[in-house]
Amino acid sequence: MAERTPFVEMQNIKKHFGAVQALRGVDLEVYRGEVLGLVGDNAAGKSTLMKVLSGAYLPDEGQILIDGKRVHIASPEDSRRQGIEMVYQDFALANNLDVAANVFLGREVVRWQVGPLRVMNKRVMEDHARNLIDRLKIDINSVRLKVENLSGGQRQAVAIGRAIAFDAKVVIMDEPTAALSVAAIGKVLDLIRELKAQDCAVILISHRLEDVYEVGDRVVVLRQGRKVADRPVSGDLHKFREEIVAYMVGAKDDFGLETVQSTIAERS
Amino acid sequence: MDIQDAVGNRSTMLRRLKTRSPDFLHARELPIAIVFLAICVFFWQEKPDVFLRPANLAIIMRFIATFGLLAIGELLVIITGGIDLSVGSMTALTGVLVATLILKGIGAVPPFDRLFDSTSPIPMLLSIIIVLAFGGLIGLWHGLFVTKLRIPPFIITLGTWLMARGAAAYITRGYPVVFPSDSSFLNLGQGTLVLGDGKNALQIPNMFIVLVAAALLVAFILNATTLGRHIYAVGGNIEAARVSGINVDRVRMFSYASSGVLGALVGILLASRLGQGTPTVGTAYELWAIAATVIGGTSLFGGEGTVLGVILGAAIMGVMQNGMVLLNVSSYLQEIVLGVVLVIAVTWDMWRRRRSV
Repeated sequence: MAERTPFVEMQNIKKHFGAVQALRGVDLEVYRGEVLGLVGDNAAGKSTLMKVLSGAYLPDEGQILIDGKRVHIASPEDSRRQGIEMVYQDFALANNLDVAANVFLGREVVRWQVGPLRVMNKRVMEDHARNLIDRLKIDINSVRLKVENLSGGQRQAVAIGRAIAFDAKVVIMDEPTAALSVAAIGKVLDLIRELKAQDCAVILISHRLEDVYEVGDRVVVLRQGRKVADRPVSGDLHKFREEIVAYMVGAKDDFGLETVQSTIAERS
Repeated sequence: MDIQDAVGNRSTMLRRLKTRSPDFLHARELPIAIVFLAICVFFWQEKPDVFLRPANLAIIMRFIATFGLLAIGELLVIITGGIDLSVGSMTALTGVLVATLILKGIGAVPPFDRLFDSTSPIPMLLSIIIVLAFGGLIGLWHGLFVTKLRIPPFIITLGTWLMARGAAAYITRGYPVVFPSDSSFLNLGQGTLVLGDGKNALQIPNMFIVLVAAALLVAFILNATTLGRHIYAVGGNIEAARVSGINVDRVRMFSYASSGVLGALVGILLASRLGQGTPTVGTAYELWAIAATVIGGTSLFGGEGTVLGVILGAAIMGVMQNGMVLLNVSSYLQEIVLGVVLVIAVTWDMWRRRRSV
């Protein structure tokens, strides 16, 4: 894996809000076909880091490389153009619209245009949405169902489907399983595996370490705006959880000053 | 066949009917249309000789046109989760304006009388365009306050509700601006398209044709265009719309501007219909328009509502009002009845909504 170029590489990202230093120089890379768990306590900087990647925030310092090339991401549109999609915690769906309309919201297929009026091609959008739902093995009878008639799991599936409908190369998921039943969580995790199988990179922000353990390949732990761990997911769940929690609360730190000093001492 | 079988059969048949039936049978407007037809049949039965008479139908159609046009504007705003309380007063102000411009010119409109010395009338068509644009500008003004300054729509349009009424009286010093009876402007609101001949020829008021045209245009925008879909999306979940890359402020500005234009259109039509621009016209029309949208199945929480429903809502009110006049129901009682209809409509809609979730 180390031989390949990461698909996304964030280098030395810094961001402050007033006096609060939310990110103190974070490096993060994600590879194609990889599920990266991003964990940390509240206010560790996970969401801020992902909002930098999705174009919601401009970083104070640092750079982002996509496929080894430096890119400038200043808005959600820029981010989308690079194939980066975000699935928001509260699903970000319009419940009064149907599944197809939500999948294509803001990116409707236009048949023809007169001045500012852009006439949609509903048939094409419905067909595409149907294919997408089938491809992701999402259990929804009709793409004409309004989202308000769907279960929580189905809504999350639509939100994820919507993110990847347009050739996404990286999907960022912010707590995708937080509000779901156990059965629905299983479905979402299956979806993440499906994305991985399609060579998509997934960044999974989650408080549920068992989810990260189950589908993650690698886990990055943030604490107080710094990366404190970056390691493969391995071992058994109990040990994994204990270790990650140790990083989260500050008992362990792979990138701290002491750790670095002791490594240098060991080498010399 | 025993009873058990019969019941079982009926429920499977119902289910089959529900899954196989064409779209229009699921449409929210269907029950409203049935209620409308029932009301029509009732008044037709009660007053068979008068109700369907062409002159009476024309009266009903003018009523539907007036409140239907206002309600379409209201619909566009309400779907996005807003409200426009200004339209009643705006019909007065725009009616007064169009009359003043056509008869006396811009020099007769107070803040401009110091800038322009001219008292020469402005051509009719130009006056109408100016007043429609004025309505759109007032709508944009509302949209600006709602989107950029985050003022609740209720408040900013309430401000215009007061200001427009005041301005209408101020411009005319309280007097109506009366058109000469031979003015061609009067054709707009008083003229009809006659279909057929003889005593029973159908008279379709021009106002009603304007309503149909506006309804078709807005229905097309709402159903077929991205703008329409974005209007619904803004009302359904404004944050979702925003992160989907929709320019939510522009969508809401469009809604308020449309309501402003439609308010001005009604003001012009009423001025033509009455033969004068009157500062007292259109009192409480905004509430009637909102009632029509609600009876037509529009949710005041936003995200729901159709042009067809809103027209049916206006039509139910129009036919009931007209029918009660024909039956000599006291006008006080008429308002009570229409109030009851509104309450029933909203309660039924809420009940239906809760059951379907």
